Amino acid sequence: MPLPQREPCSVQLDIQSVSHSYGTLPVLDSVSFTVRDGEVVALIGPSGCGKSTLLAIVGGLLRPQAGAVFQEGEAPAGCINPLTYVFQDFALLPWRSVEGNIRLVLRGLAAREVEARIEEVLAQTHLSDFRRAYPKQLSGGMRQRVGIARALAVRPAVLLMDEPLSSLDAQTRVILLDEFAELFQRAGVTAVYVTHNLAEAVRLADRVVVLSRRPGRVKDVVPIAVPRPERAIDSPAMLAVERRLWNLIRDEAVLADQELADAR
Amino acid sequence: MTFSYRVRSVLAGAAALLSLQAQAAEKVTAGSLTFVSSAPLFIAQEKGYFAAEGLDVEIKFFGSAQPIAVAIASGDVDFGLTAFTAGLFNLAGKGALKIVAAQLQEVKGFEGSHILVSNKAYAEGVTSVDKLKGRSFALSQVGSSFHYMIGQLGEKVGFKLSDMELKPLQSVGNMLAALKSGQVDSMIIVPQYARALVNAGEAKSIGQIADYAPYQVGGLFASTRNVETRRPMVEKFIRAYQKGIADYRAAFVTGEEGREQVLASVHKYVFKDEDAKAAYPKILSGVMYIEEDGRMDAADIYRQVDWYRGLGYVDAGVKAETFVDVSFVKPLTQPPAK
Amino acid sequence: MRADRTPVTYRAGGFSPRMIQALGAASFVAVIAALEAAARLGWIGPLSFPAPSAIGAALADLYRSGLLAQHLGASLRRLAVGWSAGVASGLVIGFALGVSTFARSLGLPWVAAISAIPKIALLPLFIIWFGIGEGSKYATIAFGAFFPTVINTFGGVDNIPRNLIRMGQSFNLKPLSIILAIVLPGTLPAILSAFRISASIGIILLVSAEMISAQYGIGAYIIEQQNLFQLDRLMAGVVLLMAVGLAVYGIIAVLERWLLRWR
Repeated sequence: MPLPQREPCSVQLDIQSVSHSYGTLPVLDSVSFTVRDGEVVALIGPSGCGKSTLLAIVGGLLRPQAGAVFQEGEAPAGCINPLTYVFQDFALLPWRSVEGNIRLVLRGLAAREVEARIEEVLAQTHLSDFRRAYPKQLSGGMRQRVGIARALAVRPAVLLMDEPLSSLDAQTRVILLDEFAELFQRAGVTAVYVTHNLAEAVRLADRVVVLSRRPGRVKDVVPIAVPRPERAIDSPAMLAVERRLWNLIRDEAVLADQELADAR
Repeated sequence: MTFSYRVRSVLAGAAALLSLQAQAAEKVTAGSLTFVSSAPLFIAQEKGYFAAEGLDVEIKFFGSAQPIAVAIASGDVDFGLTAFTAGLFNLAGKGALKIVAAQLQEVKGFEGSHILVSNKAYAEGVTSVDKLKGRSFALSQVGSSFHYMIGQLGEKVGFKLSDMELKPLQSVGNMLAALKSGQVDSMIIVPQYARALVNAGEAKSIGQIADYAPYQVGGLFASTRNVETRRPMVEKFIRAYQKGIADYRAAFVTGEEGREQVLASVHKYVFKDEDAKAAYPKILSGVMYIEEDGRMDAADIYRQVDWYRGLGYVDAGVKAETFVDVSFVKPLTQPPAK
Repeated sequence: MRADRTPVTYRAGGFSPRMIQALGAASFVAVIAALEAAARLGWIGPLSFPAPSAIGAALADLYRSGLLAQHLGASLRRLAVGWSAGVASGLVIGFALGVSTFARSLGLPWVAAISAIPKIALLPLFIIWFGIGEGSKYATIAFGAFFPTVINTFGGVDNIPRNLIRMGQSFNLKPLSIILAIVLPGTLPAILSAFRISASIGIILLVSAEMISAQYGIGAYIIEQQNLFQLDRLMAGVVLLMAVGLAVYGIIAVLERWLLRWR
């Protein structure tokens, strides 16, 4: 397996030949790719291909059975947690208010700095009016905004986003997708974005890593050449990329289904 | 209650009819503890005194005195043989049972319960009965005979019950353990245990209760229902019981006449898990005084009831005259005239 | 209009119980009134069950004599000390079993084995270890409160969504911070239900604890009245225990509403 191209100065994450299996079931087979500074890499693939497993390995929440993940480059100023997760189910503490959930992850900072950062991220995510609300009082979309605000508060080097829109309803998803796009552009975020939704990948990513069916391998890496400001929904260029991604995935998804049926 | 009472009477009547027809022995149950104090009952059973009266007696055994009284009240047993307690007087006062004959008695001149003090208390100077004042005293339960004894003792030697720190410990086993370890200073206990403790050097005896306050320890109870509706049967039972007492007294109290045979009868119920060699001395050490013919110190029973009532342990409405029945056996002392 | 047209009927009712306080209170009144009537009419004899008015009179006597405060005070103190000790140690052990493989492997079999012991069976041992004074009484109640606390706490820790702990780890929180900020509050509902269970058990054990050498205490009073066969006073003691149980239940409900307001 040839090592991917490296551009040492700008690389933030280097994923090298990562393999993993659950018991006798292999889920990842020698996956390698890099994430460059300021780049959003989307990770897509058919169900069960190990996308989330890969992200957990990247985030240090799962020990890979082979291969390794390297972090490079300098973290941004004020970073207290370089690799920061955004969870599909938000992972908010229900007994803490919005600001309490954010304050939780700002340990070791001066009190004034903590308050300043809370103000800042709440403003960024349009949550300033809800800082004392408990999670149960918020809609799903607002809860995920809290998840984003919490992640931004630690000034991460790389955001690791695990299907952050999957547990939301379709309308909220569209609204939050717009917000993400705007945020990523404005803040110059570096992120790995796991999704099964091609539109999200095409809208947000600079490059899309397509994984094969289980055990996941890198099937292709598709750059999204459309400039961000032009990625309005339904543009022909966007639809073309989306169709290309779908063709790559469809074959895998059909085969995955067949294999599942055969196994029964 | 009224309803079940009526049903039981009808059933009892039917049973009596049936037994008459069959000329079979009358079925009777008696509740008892497996102590030497119930020996007359065991002797009467083993020597056939009940059978001779035409009674078929089944002896049911209980772990403590209180359940016997409750069983009489509920009609599960016809007779009970046990020591007096305030609880028993309360139950009797509600009309459920009557005292018809005597059981153990503390009398001057016959070894009875000892007043024991722990070695620690003895070393601290509690060497005579009058020095018990202000000390802790173990008893099984509030309103038990231990309670009465310490109260009587105090009255005789000059301290009040409120001067004592009373420790209800629920069982004689707990009381002995607490005295041995010095957790309580004193107790009053039957000779069987007292001698064992003193001989082992685990406590000191400073006297016998009978020297200060002789009293009627226990009695034979019959259910009020039986006394009222089956009087001949109750009379037969008491006659057989008195024969048992006569044998008991001959063998243990007044001499040693027929002792082996009586011991053998008692051994069938008391310490029966041990062989005769080990059991007989234990039975002998458990012997206490029982008056001839089971004659009651009726005056003392009245005194006991009054004493408990004064302390609030017996209900105000409980009157000894309603349940001390001297019509079966001539009492040793007459109830106070009213 | 079609002939076979019928309205769809609602069929999803029930299975959502509410608490109507007045109904609960009314049932108490009704049962008491029924018992009183049965006693007055002679359907229930005094040997079977004392009339509520007799129980009330016994309570009034107890109050007038000043013994009520003494009995209640002694019992509440034993309950407070014994229960606090049992719950505090139960929380520590429960958390240890919840978070540490070593503690769980070592401790769980013991907890399972010992929790099955009827606490009263160990009373003689407690008396030898802690004496016939207050020590053995505290120990009996503490021992009874300990096990439900351990089992509930440990179950509560187990039930914390794994994801929340991973979240804490993903933000580099220290293990102690994770325990204090995530595990502890997440276990709070289970801990509060442990409070409730252990308090009931504590009240139940009050009678056992005060069996030995207690001059004052509701349990001691109940045992005394048992021995004296004074059923009205016995029931007065039982009513006091019920009142303590209701009060504890109420306090914990208030605590729950306040501590778990985020639910």
